[in-house]
Amino acid sequence: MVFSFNTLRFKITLLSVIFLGLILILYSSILYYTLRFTLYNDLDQELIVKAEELGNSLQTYWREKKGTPKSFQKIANKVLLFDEEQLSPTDSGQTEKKLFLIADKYDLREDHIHISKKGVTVARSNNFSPGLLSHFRKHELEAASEVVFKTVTVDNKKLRVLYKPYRFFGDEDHLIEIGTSLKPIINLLDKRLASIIFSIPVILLLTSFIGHFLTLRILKPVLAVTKTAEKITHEDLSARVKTKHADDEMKYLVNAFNGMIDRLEKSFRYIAEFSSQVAHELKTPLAILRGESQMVLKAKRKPEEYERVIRVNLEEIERMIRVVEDLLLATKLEYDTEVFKFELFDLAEFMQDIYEQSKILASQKEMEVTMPALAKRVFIHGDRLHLRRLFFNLVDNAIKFSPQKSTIHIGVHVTPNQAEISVTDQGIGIHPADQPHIFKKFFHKDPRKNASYTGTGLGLSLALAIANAHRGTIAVKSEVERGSTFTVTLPRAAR
Amino acid sequence: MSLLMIPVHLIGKKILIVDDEFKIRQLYSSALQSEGYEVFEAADWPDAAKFLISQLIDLVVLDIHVPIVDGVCMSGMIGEIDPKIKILVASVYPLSHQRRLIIDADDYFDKAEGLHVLVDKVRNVLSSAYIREVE
Repeated sequence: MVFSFNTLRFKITLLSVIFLGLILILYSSILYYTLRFTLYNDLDQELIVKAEELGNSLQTYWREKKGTPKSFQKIANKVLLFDEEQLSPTDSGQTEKKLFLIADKYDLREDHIHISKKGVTVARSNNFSPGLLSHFRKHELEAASEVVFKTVTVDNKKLRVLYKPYRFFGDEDHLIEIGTSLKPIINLLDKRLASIIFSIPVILLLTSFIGHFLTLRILKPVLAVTKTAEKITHEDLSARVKTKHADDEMKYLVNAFNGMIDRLEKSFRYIAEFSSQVAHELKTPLAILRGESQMVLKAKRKPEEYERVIRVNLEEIERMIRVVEDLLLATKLEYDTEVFKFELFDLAEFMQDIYEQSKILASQKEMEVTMPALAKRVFIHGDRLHLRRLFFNLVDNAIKFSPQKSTIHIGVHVTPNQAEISVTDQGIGIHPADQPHIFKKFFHKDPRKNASYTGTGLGLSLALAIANAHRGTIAVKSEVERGSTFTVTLPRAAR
Repeated sequence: MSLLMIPVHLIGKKILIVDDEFKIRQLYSSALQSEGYEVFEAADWPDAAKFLISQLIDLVVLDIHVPIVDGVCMSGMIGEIDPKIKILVASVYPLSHQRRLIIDADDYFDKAEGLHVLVDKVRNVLSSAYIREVE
């Protein structure tokens, strides 16, 4: 298969990559921002603890040194150096220990610490640069009564800064400011971002490969169907797609496709058979027309001879017209439901009419027709014209295949839901082997066609088509040399 | 006029027409009779068998589409009765189709071809048979 952007394979792969990409980006963003939020939050909490521990330790140390508010600044500056040599030990030395413990625990030596009172520096750590001071100052006012966090950039370094009011010796105006480097957090987040940016394209590339092969695998039966479809011509409809390795869903497609070809093959065979039958039915009268005309033109004949030939030819022409008309009707009945004009009518009245006409037809062979009168009115929803045709076809057959002076019986049996009309003759009967075929088109059961033969071989197939159009059926019971009974069952109209 | 149309040695050859169409039988019969042949007509196998046994038939003009016992079966049975009997298949089927159905007939005739073709084919089949007989 040539690669094309318009293939299902390409589209499925592209769509899955696009959707997966969107989902991955969304998912990674959520993960990334959650991590960022958590890290900042943890850092802020740590800063608050740091500030409190620092303030508490400083105040304890100052108290134990019995310092005055004046000496606070000096002591605080010493403490913020976190240097053992600078601090003179108190009596027990516990306070210093605790101070260094806190400094180690919270990495206070690395932080930028500033303690102020009303905007005036009281004490500051060694690494506290003047540049930082101006940054710190900006937020001192708003932090006068509450805890404030800010992220500032000084000397290309990002710091997270906490402003926390603290009461040294009951004085509300002190403010502890602690700035800690954001470098570890930023490093972590950067690494995470890099891994996301690197992994998404890799995942998408893998997905596109997998999708490509999966769709190839899924579409394999479709390709098989296509190849088979290309192989099929009207001359050879034998090709089928193998279902052996197909998945269940694809089996439906393959089976539906194979079923369609089965039906096509059947229709083609039927058409071939049908057209050869049509040719046969029309060629015979044409052969007679041609032969008779050639024969009579060979020599000068008596006027009676010409008359005979013309009469024979006329019969054959009429026969061809009947074949063509019956064929047209058969086609119409099969494919055009609008041929039927349904109306409600009384079956008793209708059958009486059939009966009267049948008597006239049967009188040609001195035959008798019997039909018991129908007592009650039975209504049928149907097309009277076509039903007439159905019953006359049956009566016609009965007359045709019965000996002179025999009897035809028309019976009507009514059940709550349907009406059964039977036509029984005392004719030659139908051989059991032929019975399944008599409703097929162009079936001739007449073993000896004679001069009075008028059948087209379509009568019973038309009768069946008409019965079916009325949701009815035709059944046949027959015994050779004893006679046949054709029973038409029609549904009664709901009243 | 017609007695002069076929060679003398073919006059009186016996031809059996097997066809279920009365009018076809009648037509072919009168056409072949006027050529000088002796013609018999049969509508189905029992009738045909009767003539095949009682008469020394030289040629059968055989239709294929015949009810009950069709022409294909009949051609086999005619061969069993007497393999020397010539068979000319006469049907409305196209010639290629006829050849497929009855393989070993002596000639084939499409009914739509016209009477003169039938008469020619009958004469050819009988003449070739006569020549072989003489040799």
